[in-house]
Amino acid sequence: MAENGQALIKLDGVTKVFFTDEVETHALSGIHLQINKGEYVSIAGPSGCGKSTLLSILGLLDSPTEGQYLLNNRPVAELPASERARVRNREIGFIFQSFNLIGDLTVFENVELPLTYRGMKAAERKQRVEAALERVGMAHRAKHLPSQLSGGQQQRVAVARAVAGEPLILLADEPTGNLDSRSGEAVMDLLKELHKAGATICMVTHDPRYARHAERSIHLFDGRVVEERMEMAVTE
Amino acid sequence: MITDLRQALRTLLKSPGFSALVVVVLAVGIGANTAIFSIVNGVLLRPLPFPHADRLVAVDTTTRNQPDDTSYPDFLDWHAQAKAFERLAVYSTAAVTLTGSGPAISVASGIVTSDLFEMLGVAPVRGRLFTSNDDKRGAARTVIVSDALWSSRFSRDAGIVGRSIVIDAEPFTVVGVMPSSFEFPFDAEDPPQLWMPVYASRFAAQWADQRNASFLKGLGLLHQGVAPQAAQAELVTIEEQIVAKTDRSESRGARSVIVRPFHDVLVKNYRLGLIVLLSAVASVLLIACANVANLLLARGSVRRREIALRAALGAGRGRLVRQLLAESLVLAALGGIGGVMLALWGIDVLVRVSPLQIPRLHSVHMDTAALAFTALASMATGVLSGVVPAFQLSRSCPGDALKDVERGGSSTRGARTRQMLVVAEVATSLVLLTAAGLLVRSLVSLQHVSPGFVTERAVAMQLLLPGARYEDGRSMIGFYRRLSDELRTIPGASATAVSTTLPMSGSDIGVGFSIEGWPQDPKTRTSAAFFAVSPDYFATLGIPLVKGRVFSNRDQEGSPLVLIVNQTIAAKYWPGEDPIGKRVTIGYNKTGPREIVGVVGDVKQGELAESASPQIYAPFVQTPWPFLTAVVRTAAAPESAVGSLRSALARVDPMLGTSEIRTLDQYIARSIATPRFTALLVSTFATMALALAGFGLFSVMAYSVAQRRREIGIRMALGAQTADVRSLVLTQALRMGIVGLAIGIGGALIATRVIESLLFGVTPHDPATFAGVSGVLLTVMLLAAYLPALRAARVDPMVALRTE
Amino acid sequence: MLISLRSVEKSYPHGVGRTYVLRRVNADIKEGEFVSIMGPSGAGKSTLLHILGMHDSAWSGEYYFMDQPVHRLNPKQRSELHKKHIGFVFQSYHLLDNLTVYENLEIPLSYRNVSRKDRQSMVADILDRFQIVGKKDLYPNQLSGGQQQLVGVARAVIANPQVVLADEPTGNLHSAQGKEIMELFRSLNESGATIVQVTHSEVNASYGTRIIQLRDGWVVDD
Repeated sequence: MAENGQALIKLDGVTKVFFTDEVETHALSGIHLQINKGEYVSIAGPSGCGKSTLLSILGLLDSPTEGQYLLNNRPVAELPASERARVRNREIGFIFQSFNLIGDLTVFENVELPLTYRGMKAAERKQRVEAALERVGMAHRAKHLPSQLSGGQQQRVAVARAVAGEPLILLADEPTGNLDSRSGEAVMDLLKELHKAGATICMVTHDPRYARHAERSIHLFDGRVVEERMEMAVTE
Repeated sequence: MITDLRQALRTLLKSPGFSALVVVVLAVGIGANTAIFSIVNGVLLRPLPFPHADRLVAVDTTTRNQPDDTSYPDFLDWHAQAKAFERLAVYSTAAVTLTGSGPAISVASGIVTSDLFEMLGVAPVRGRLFTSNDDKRGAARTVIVSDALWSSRFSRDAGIVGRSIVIDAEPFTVVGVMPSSFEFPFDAEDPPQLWMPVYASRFAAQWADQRNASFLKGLGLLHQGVAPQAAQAELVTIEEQIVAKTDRSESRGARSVIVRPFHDVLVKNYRLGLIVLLSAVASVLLIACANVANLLLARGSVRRREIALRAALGAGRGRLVRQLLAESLVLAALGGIGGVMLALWGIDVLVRVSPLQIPRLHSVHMDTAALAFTALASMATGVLSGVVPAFQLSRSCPGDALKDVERGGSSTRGARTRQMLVVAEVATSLVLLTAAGLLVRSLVSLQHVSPGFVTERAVAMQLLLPGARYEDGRSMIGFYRRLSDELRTIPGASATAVSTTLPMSGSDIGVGFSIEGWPQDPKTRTSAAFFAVSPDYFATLGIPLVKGRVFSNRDQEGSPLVLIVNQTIAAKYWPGEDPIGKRVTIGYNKTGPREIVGVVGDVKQGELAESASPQIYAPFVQTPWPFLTAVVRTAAAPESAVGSLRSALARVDPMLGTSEIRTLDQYIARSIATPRFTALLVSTFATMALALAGFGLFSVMAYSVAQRRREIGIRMALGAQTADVRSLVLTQALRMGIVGLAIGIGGALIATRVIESLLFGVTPHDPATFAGVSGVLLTVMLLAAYLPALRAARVDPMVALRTE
Repeated sequence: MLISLRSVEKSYPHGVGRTYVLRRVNADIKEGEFVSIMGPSGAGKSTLLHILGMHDSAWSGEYYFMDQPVHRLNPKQRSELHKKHIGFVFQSYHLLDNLTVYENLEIPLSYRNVSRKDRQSMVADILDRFQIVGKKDLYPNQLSGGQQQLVGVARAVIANPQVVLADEPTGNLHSAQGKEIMELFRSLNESGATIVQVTHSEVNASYGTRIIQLRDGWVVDD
């Protein structure tokens, strides 16, 4: 475990090129980025600026064409697929714009899912899932199906699923994009609480109101970092 | 409706791959059904091609309640006295030799009385039918030839009627030619090429005056309104008077008469087998329907937007159902056309591989009834496979499907219907597979049954001594001696023998017998299969001697009369006692009691599946018969002996014709031809069913994986390994497989009881078969799901990030 | 009054509670109006439009269309009413890919039992009016987005409906094409058709005579 303030994520010259019909599209060009343990970082920028590509590389869903990626001091840019799946499962917690709960599984089973991929014992899983649901205030809905919940509630369950595995970092992709304003605020408050409790969070958003919740925001444009700014609002 | 059909055709042409797949699946199902239906229709359902076929009855003597052949004197009495019949006739068959106008050939002949053709209502294409004058003893020899023989032998000679031809060395006058469609009897392995009256036949004439010579089958045309039972009652009375009058002590009280509808008698041995086949092939079509319904449902989900849009543009529900049904009907019609073509080919193959004994089979063809059946089956297929998808699709609510941002969650209801269809397919295939497995196992155990003698490398030739030249026992014994001597000179023959008949040959002689010192009751009189054999018979056939001795050259005409019995007789009548030295009288020419000198092993008489029956052997020279079978066992391939066997016969009597020379292995093979045919076809259908069910599962899983791409992506983003994803898909498939399996086993436990009577050496609930086919089924299910599972494991976890 | 909504609500059950998509919507639309429904995504705009178009029947409240109580009609009667008076334009055109332009235009008529001869002349008319005669034998994927939407509008008006409902009709088009479509709506409106569109764009709304603002299912501004 890294100490607070230590570099948890380090990107060095990360470039991502897509080849389509003999045209090279540079989705990311030479990104240098460091996220320290305990930070709350937002990534902002207009559509097509490379936010999603960056997030997918950070989350090991995709690998960079060039450049180094150190996750907790371990080079992860060129891991084989099965090892990447292992890292995603243990070190990263995802929160998606469209919640991405699995419709056929109950709230409890959804939160449990990443833990089952670790081969964790049932008793331990139960305890962790209950704790995570308690943290997001959804313990009373453990047996419901996602379709029986509102959007805001579904996103809270998704947050519980992300934190249940005690990952190194939470990656959130427009977590409020599909929510009405009130539910959106509630989810942002939940993330703020998690951060206060020590979680490292990296969030993609194009809503400046929510970007301000983070301590630091990174602006991307055409695949490059154009601005980094400390957000003071959150330190109060 | 025309517009709907036109649009349906257009839509289908737009996705040719999908349409071709559906048409092929349906064509296979419909084709197999049309082919089997044609056979069932041709054999079971189609009325006999005669006027008044419903009044035709088989009239048979019974011995101890077993239908048997009838003697000519008995028939003449029936014919003279019975009032129930408009006409009454008898017939038989025999091989004859045709000489002159070409090389000598052996053809099958029909022996008939004159009423027979009249009764069947056929007219000759040339000349005339037989009249009662032709029936008389001493009448000029007349013959009617088949159209086929007229063509092949006489080049359709316009002057055929009145021409003299030579049959079995006797001159015959041709009086008529039958139409090419005529055949009789239907169940003859070798359809007769010519027909002659009883006294004209050398074979029949020698027996025609003996009441104890039963070799004819009776056929009657009942008077309008007379029931078979009434006719039977009348004949039973007549037969009782005959028995009383003729005082045949050995059979008094044991003989009677049975009258049954002719068609029933003809098909009774094949009915169950054909019905099993029809059910099997219908199941295949049902599975094909389920598959097509599944494909339509899966494609329907893709078309949800189109359907919703049509609804939004004002199409009512009925209109949508009509359009969707039109599509499946067009598919089914195309499948039906393909099916007819497949069936034309399939019928041809089936007729060729099917056992020859099934009556009327070689005249089976695609007729209007079969075409009507196909049309009906196609319509039903179209509706069956289209109705579920049509209703399900037309129910979807247009609002949701059309909103440009789609709400998550696919239609679970459709998924459940698809899964249920696959479960039903799996269950049905299991029933078929189990039936096939049991029939195959039964066939295997039949093949492992020892007939009681050694069949390898042996050929047999059946002979009939014409009564004109072999009038008494002495001349028959003379022939037998000369033949035995000639057989020994055949090069490459390791052993030779002569017997009246051979076991499993299809012919046999039965005799009644009584044991000295036992009470006599005609109703429970004992009878046994009887063989008059040469001394080397047991060694040549490899029938083991259990006790005493076999015959030797010491057993001559004048020496003490001796018998050998089989183990069944020994165990039944002398349990714990030594039968050697016991004295038995057999029903042969009123000769006296004979002494048992040996006991030999049992042989199978007519079928491998039968249980042991009593058998009695006597030396040929002490019991001469006019028919003989020569057996030659060879060191090399048995076919090599055929030529020398023929020339050996020619040296003994150049005028004598012979039937086809067969190997003993062929006897055995012929006896299991019908179970082999059934097992082969049911296995073929079961394989088709399995393949279709596998394909059904494959398409459902492939579709499900496509639908769950996002879910799978999410799981992978959360760290699921490829193995986790694979097992997710395989488990889902396996769950369907196991549910189907459970239902199928339940169905099979019921269904296999129906085929119990077709089974030998295996119970209908044979656990090994059930376990085996379940294993095969699950393996196929896993294989079918494996490709979709691999595809699922290749889903890019990035899809989790995309928002629709 | 052409359209009159009273306390129209739509909601989904969510476990014990319900999620509301529309809340107590009251609105009146007169003949000849050109109304734009606006609001942020998820506000219920499309839902409202599909209720007006009678595609959606799972809602509560009262809806009078030409003084007929839609909320009391059975599906068949609704379908009749909709067939006679309403044309619908979709954001993503929703033309049937398997059919030519001509056949796409013919579909609504075929569902209205128009005779074959009348169908021919009506389709010919509309092809002329929209100047797409040259495209009649092409398939949708052979047309640009703007042309497809032109066909979409033509299909919506071919049966001479009183009302045209349009769900973000220019959402998938670039601005020049969008302008063309909006001009088309204006001229339809001028020749007497009532038009209700859902839009994000202030520019598109400016073609109309009135704006209804929705937020979180409520009408907040009319």
